Amino acid sequence: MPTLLESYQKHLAAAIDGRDFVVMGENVDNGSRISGLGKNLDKLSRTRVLNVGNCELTHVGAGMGMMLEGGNMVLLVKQLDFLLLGLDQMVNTLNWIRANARNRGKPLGSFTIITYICDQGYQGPQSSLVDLSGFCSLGSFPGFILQEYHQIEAVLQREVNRPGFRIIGLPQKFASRPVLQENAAYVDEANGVRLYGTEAETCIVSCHSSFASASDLRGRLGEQGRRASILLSAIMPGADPSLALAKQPDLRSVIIMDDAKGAVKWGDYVARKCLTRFPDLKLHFYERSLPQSFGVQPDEVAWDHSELFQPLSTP
Amino acid sequence: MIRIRAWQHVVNERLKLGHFKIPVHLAFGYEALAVALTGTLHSPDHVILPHRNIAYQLAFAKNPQPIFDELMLRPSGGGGGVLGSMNLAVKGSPVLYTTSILGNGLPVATGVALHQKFRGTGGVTFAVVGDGAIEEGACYESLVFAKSQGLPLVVILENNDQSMSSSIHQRRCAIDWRAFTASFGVNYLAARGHLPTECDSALAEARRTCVGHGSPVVLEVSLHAYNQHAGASPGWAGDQKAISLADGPFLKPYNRDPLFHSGLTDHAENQRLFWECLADCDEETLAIVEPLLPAASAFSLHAGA
Repeated sequence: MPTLLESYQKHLAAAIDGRDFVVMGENVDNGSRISGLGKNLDKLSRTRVLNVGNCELTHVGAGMGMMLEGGNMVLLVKQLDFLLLGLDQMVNTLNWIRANARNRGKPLGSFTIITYICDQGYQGPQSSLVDLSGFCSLGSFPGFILQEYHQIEAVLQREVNRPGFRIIGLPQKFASRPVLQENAAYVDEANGVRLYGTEAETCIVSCHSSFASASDLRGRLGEQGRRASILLSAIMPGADPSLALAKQPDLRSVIIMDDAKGAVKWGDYVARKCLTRFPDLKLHFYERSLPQSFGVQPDEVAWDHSELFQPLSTP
Repeated sequence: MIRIRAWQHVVNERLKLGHFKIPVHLAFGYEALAVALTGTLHSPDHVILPHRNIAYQLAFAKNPQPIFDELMLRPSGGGGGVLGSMNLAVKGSPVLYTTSILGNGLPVATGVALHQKFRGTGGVTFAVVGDGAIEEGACYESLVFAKSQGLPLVVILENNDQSMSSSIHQRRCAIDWRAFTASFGVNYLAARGHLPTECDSALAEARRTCVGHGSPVVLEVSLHAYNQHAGASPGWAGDQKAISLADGPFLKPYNRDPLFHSGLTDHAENQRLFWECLADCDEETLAIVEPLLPAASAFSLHAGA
């Protein structure tokens, strides 16, 4: 079984091979090639790999400018928090590009940022930002966190070649582990949803990097004779991930699982959609609590099942 | 040039009447630079502009009405009535992007220039920034990036010694742009913005140098901003909204007014051109303009006035 990183490398190369792409990043053609994010891309036909200086704001702006001109860029970034420097471009420039859509004389290109999300623990007070949904919310653009083999293939093939902007994250704690692999029973690309299993009475909505934890919880529920599915939700402001719940006629409860650290989470957005569309469903939350300390601490989430598992496991 | 001046007068008069919901940043005194840019561009070139972009927009326009309509947020506006003034880009013009955020435009310009370089279009990206915006770290980053990648980028640094209501010495240390750009091998040129022929030749040289060296160029243009208009961020506290169409096209001090140096010394010809430009406006605008049309004597300035 390939690792998550190997799966990413394979499917990114397949997505851009033979197409005009600029792949840009700091040390992208040197050393570890950004911890493997840029591995082998310089061997692809028609792909230009640019090693560039340390100026993330300019990199993001350059991607926007290239997209505006109809070009395609993949920007590889070592970790999500470096992108805080580029937020102006992701919000203001992107807004302008969308507002000006009707005047555009040529097709929009594609701009994708691919970055590690440093959630492997002990990064310290800095360099431990994991809330991709915060970025996506500010700029109202889609975000994807790669976690399952078929999802990785689908996201990279579809998104990297699609006009417009998005961020794709790799959870660093899973990068060198064997990738999870499961066929989705239902896919709704427009709403950023992949549904694993349908004959369920409980659906675990997996947000941010929680797919492995959701799989673990589904196993625990299964041991109790409870049938559970997983709805892997990409971050897509404006979408309605809850629509996929209608595919599960026996559904009685939904667990929102989100391992992001912020006070406002993507899981909260999904929960609002669920409550609006399916007010009779019971909603439970597996959400990471706000940090009690801003010093060094593990980023691995130790979920406390005791509070929620009992009501969930009771018929 | 007289056309841009006349059309800015029209916008100024409508600002006085409170016709616009949006902020409009007028640029009296920028006309020679704007006209020079239109004459410098080759077909594959692109332009990135800041919020005070109206002189350039009018210079690129054959007819001002789509711009006037955009300021009124009408669907017939050059930006479909959704971009407004600070972010206007008229379809079909060389203006690819405009930004209301200081320091936001240069990073985008590097991406446009990168695409031009890789596609081999032969085009150059012209990015306009002010002496306030250039203080943003993004501008330094972008210049280094552009030099490192050998990008076809000309940065026009509009130095009007003013950012909002501060002069340079009130807010920061002086920067010697010639020495600064030389420190990382970027070519530097300078011009005086009130002298049309100097703007023409400096921009042409900037483009030639950029293409010839395969390297970015910074062109610093000193400008006198005539702030006494009714638009947004007019400048210094105490500035009066004294600019009036009724007073004719020229502005005091005359020796810093590019129109005064435009070579149009025949006052009858000036008068004819000025009125002819205003005739392009729609009936609604003309109804505002006609009572204010300047007297013939307003066109009788001569060198040394």
